[in-house]
Amino acid sequence: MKKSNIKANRSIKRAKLFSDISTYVILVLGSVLMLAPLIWMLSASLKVNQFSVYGPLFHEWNFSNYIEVFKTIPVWKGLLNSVIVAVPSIIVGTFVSGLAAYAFAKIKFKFCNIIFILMLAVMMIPFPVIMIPQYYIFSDLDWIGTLLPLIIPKLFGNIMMIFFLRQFLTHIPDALVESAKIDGANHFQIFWIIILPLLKPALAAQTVLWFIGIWNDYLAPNFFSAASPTLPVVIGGLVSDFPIQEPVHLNMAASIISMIPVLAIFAIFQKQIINSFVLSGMKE
Amino acid sequence: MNTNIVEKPKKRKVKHVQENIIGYLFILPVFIGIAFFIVYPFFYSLVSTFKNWNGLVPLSVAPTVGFEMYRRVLSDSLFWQAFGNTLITLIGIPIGMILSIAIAMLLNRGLKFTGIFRVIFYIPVVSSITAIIILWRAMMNTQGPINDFLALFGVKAINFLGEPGWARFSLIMMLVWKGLGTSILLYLAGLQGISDTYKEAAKIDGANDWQIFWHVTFPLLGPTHFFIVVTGIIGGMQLYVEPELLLGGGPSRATTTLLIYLFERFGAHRISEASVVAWVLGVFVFIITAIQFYTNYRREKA
Repeated sequence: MKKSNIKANRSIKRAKLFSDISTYVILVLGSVLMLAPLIWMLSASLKVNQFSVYGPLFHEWNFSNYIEVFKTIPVWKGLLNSVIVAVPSIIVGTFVSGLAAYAFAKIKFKFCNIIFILMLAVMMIPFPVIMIPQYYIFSDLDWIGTLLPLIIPKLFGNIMMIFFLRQFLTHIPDALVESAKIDGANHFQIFWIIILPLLKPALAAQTVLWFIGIWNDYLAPNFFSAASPTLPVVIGGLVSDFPIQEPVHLNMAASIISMIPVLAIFAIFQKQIINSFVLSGMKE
Repeated sequence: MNTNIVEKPKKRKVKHVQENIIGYLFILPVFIGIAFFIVYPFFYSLVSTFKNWNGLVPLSVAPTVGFEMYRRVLSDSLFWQAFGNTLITLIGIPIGMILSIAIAMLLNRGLKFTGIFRVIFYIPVVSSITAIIILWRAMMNTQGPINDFLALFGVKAINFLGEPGWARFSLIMMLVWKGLGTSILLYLAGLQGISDTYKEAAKIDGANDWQIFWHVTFPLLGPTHFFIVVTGIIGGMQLYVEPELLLGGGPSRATTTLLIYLFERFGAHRISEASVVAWVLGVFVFIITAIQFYTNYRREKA
C-alpha cells in the first residue's frame, strides 16, 4: 500500500516536472517567434548596404547607419514634430480629463449620470465617420498641414481616460471629499491637493498608454498634417513602389530610432501598463 | 419656527445650485471638445451623405440627392470587394484568440519568470506600426529571412507580398503577431478572475483537464471573449495603415479594405461617397456590437 503511494506520488511529481518543462519550452519558443522579427531588424540596421541586408545575422556592425539616417531621412524633424504633438496634448488633456473624472465621480450635479452615459455613447462613433468633416473644419481654420489638428482636439481630454479615472475614483471614499469640504476646501483645491496625488498610479498607466497611442498614430497625422510629418509619417514615407531600390539597412535604423522612445517608456512603466489590464479585466 | 423650516431647504438649494455649476464647469472643456470635434462632424457627415458634394464648394451649396449616394456606393462592385477583403482579415481574430488563450493558460500556471514572458509578448503591441510594416516588407521579401528559413525545409521562395492569397496571409499574420500581447494580457486577467473552486468541483466529478478547460474555464472567460471579439471587429473593420503601407491595397486589390476604398473616393473628390462608406462601416460595427451585447446580456441572465 505505502509503496504504491510513494510510487504514485513520484509519478505525479514527474508529471508536474514534465509539464513545467514543456511549459517553459513552449513559452521560450513563442518568445523567440515574437522577438525574431525585431532581432532581425536590429541586425539589418547594422549592415553595410542594402545588398548585404539579407545575409547572415549580425555579420556586420556598421553603427554609422544610425548617424547616416539623420542626414538622409528627416528623422529629426519627425522626432521634433512628434514631441510637439505628444507633450502638450498629454499634459493639458490629462489634467482636463482628471477634472472631468473627478466631477463625474464626486460632485453630485444634475444629470451627471446621463451626461456620462452619453459621453460613452459618443465613443462608439468610429473615427472614419467624423474624420472627413474634421478635415474640412480644419481646412476652414487653415490648420491642414500644421500640427494643430493633432494637438488642439486632444487638449479637451480623452473619454477613455475619463472613464478609467472615474472608475478609479469611485473606489476612493466620499468621506475624504466631504471632510475636506467641511474644512473649507473648494472642489478645485480638493482635486488639486487630495485627489491628484491619489490618482497617480491610475494616471501613470493611462497617460503612458495614451502617449504610446499618440506616438504611434499614423492615420490622423498622415491625413491632416502630412506637410508637418510626425515620426510615423516619416517612417511610412520610406515605403516606395520599388522595394528593390530601398536602402533597407537605413530604413531599419530609422524605424528602430522611431521605436526607441516608446520602448524606453514601456520598459519603465511595464508594471503599471500590464497591471492596468488586470484591473480592467476584473471590472468586466 | 415657521421661518426656520422654510430657510433650511433654501440654503440647501443654494448649495445644490453651486454644486451643479461647479460640476458643469469641471466637465465644460470636455463637453466643448466633444461637441465641436465629434458631435458636430458627426451630423456634418450625416448631412453630406444625402448630398452630392465634391468638397470644393461649401456643403450647403451642394445639391441634395436623397439616397442616391448610398445607391451609388452600394451598387459598386469595388465597394463589395473592399467589404469582403475587410471581412477576410477578421480571420485573424479567432486565430489570435486560440493562440493567446493557450499562452495565457501557460503563463497562469504561476511558474517562475513568467513576468518576463508577459513583457516579451507585449513588446510588438507598443512598437510603432509603421516601423513594423517597414520591417515585415523587408522580411517577407522573396529573398528575405522568412523565405531563407523556409528554404531550410526545401520550400521554394514564396512571393508573399506579390500574390493575392499570400498577401492576405502575410497581412493577417502580421496583425496576429502585433496584437497577440493584448489578448494574452486580457485572458490572463480573465483567468485570474476565475475561482479555483469551479475547477476543483469539476475534478471531483471526474473531469479531465481538457473537459475542465472546455466546460468550465472557456465558458467562464465569456466576458473576455466578448471584449476581444467586439474590439477586434471594431478595429478590424477600420483596418487601413497595415494593408495600405504593407501592400498598397494590392496585389490586384486583394487587400483594398473599406478604409482604403474610402480614401480612394476622398481623393477623387467624391466626398459624399466617402462619407457613405464611413456610415456603412459605422452602422455595421454598431449592429455587431449590439448583437454581441444582447447575446452577452442574455447569457448573463440565464
